[in-house]
Amino acid sequence: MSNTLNVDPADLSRDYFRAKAWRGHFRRPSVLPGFGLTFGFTLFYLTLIVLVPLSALFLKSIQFGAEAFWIAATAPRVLAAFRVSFGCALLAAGLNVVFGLLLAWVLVRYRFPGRRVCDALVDLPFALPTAVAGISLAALYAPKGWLGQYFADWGIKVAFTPLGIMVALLFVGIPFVVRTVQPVLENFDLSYEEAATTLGANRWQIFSRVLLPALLPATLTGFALAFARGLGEYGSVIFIAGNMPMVSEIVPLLIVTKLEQYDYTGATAIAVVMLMLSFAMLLVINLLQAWARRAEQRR
Amino acid sequence: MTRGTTENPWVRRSLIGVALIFVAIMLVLPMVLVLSQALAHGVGDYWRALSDKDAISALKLTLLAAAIAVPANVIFGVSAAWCIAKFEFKGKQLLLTFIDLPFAVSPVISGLVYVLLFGLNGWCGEWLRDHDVKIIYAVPGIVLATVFVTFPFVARELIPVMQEQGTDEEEAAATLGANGWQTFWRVTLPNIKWALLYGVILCNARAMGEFGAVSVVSGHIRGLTNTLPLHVEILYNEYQGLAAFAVASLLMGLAVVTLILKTIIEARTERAEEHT
Amino acid sequence: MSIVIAGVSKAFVGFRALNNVSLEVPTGQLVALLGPSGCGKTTLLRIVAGLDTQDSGAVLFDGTDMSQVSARDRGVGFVFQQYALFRHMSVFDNIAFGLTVKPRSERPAANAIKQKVEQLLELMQLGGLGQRYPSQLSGGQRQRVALARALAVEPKVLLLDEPFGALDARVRKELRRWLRKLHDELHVTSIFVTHDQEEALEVADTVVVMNAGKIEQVGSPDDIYDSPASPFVYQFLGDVNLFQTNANRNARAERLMSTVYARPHELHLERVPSDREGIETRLSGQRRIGAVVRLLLERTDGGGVIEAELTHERYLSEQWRDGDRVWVRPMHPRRFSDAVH
Repeated sequence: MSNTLNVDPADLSRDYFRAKAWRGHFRRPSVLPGFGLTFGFTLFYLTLIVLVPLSALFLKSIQFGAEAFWIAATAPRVLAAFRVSFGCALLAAGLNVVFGLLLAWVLVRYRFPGRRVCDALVDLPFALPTAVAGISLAALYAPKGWLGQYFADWGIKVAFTPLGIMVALLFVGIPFVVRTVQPVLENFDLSYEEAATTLGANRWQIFSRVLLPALLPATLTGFALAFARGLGEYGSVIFIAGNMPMVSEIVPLLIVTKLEQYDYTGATAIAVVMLMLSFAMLLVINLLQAWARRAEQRR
Repeated sequence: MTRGTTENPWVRRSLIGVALIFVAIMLVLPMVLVLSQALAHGVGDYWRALSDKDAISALKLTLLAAAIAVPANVIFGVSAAWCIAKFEFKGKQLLLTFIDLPFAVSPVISGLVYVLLFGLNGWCGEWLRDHDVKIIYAVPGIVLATVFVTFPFVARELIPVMQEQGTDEEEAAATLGANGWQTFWRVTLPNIKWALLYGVILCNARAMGEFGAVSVVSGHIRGLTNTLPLHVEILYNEYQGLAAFAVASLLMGLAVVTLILKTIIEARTERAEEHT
Repeated sequence: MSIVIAGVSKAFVGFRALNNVSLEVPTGQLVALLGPSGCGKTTLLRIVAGLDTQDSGAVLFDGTDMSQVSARDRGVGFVFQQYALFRHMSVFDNIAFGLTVKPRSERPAANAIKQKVEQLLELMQLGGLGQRYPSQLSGGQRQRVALARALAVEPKVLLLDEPFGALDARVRKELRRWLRKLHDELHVTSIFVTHDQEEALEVADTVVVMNAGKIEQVGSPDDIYDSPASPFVYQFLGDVNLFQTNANRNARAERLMSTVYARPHELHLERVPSDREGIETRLSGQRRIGAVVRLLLERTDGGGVIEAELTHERYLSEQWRDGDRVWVRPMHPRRFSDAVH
């Protein structure tokens, strides 16, 4: 029996059908002007600034030949640098998850003096030039630095060791986890927790069984973003790393070193491997984000 | 917050405490250190370090690079956001991924690709040498590297905002007889101005602060191809700690201003959203 | 301006939005496109406005083919379902927009624009709200601003997409009467899209009932209600009871099944069987809805449940108890041969 509906589902489905209408054509017709101009310019600029330079890298590596490439990419010093970069980035990203979740939780759920300032400060690693972060962290954690002296008392050396690299990567990675988890937490409907409470769950059970699963996609995305950033990070690391070959030399630094020695083959080979890893990470991050979006929509 | 959904006060207090200590040590302390080192020998020495000839020329180059990179990426960002947010076409996802690429690439590699393209041994190296054009180890290289690393910022801010706003207002403008430019200037732009400003601020912060990419293409020629971040490195490596931190404090000021503006814009957009 | 829609089709993949639709709208009429979700009514409206493009067929304004004319130049006023008010402009600037984007040679002087907008604000009962922003207005006020904005450029045709869809029931009723009054004053050829039959019947001169990309019936509200051309129209316009009967009882040939349609308030309900044949039922449920009472009558022959409506007054004057035997006879039975389906 028909009667008045408030929303006409046809108008919801309209967009869906219209989206399909242009199948077989490059784009859906629209009354709005300027597609040709803006699309053309976008493609031109993208090609000029990003695609051509990046393909120059790949072409160069082909030019060198497979054998030279393989030798350059698998030299012990290179492998050691990859181990250092991977290990530090992984551990730092892990720590970022712990502190990022904590910060996001405290910023979203609690009201306390200085909350807004803390919230703004979380973005500092985005805004602070990496070189400034680098020299500042190096000075802080040097054996005689403000913080380094306490570690030195315990016989721990932070600056100029892989530990220092981790500190730097912990710094640059903070915003990634906080800023991906924060919005999810903000949109998280309290009624889920209330429901769990009425069902007799305590706070810890609610956190681990209701909240954490909901936050998982965003947390993993934040982890992957922090990890990807950590792999490629240069400015904030080199001052505190000590840069000892085989011990505390990161991959980006090795590329620069090779370049300064005019070893283009070496630099290019390492860079190509690195770039492939970045693309793989980009893919992983895209998949994670798609998953996070779906998880968000399901609720 | 209702009773059923909060922790007992002690848990709450200790969580807040840990968070505050973390923020203090990881974020506040480095800034305090920069200031204290910069001013370690008083304001006079601080001022002298800043007014050094090389520092000034580094500042000028930094401003120049940003003055080119930011407008270029604003034009790109607006153009990309218009075609991506207001139209449906094939390969849109791929285009979005390409736009994100510079975020995924290590800054060092961003510099390296230009060296491989324009450097002496690069693809265009010989042609450039023959025509006496210098890009690598010169200002154009620095500008290019800066444009590359700041490429996605504006587009990334605008696209989601414009997508969310849909095309209804633009269609309405069309039925009222407005042409493309009128629609853009009078309907679209006012709607995205805060997102645009936000993108510009982030883009500018990165443009002025970029280190890795610029370092690779710069050649570190004092007074010629040194930007402020590179100047910090040189001074630091020469054990001129005071000067290094003085210049660093300048960049830190930029970061603080960026954060403040960012917070203001976020508060504004939040209010605007509550309004509608 | 008169509008002719000539054989317009629009297909989406696996879905025909419009299937060879033709329609004439004479100058000065107010026409409702009425139909259920997905029937193509909004698509048709957008094609008339030039916001969408038809695959085949033509739209003619006063006999001129508009196919190659862009939405900018068609001179139509379009009121969007969600209003699409420019959110960063005041009400005044919203209404003035269409005038201020005219080429310099055609643009009215600033004070002429001001006068025009003030006049429209008065007409729309929006006096004093000119400096407000859309976010500061109620739904009904936004709707009127959207209408004023569309009217400011003096369109030859006014198109409204679900103009009252986003409003609550009371405002909706008020506004549709007001729209009717406005149309009587302005006489702009208007088409509006709605899925609400009451709205269409109350406001429009002509109602166009659409279903599945086709026009089912075109007619005055009375025509549409009293003589629906198809079972679909009958059912779409209100609650209905269906009776499977043997239509040609006396015919010698095959006994054609047909379905009789009758509205719940158009049933004779008798407590004793009369000489004329009625359907025997048993009262199985009753529910009062404001001024009417709805009775559920279960057919004793197992043919299902019939819904009947009484005025509350009659309900009180007669005693109705569950289990009562009631004979039901349609007052204005409509027959559609099943072959039509």
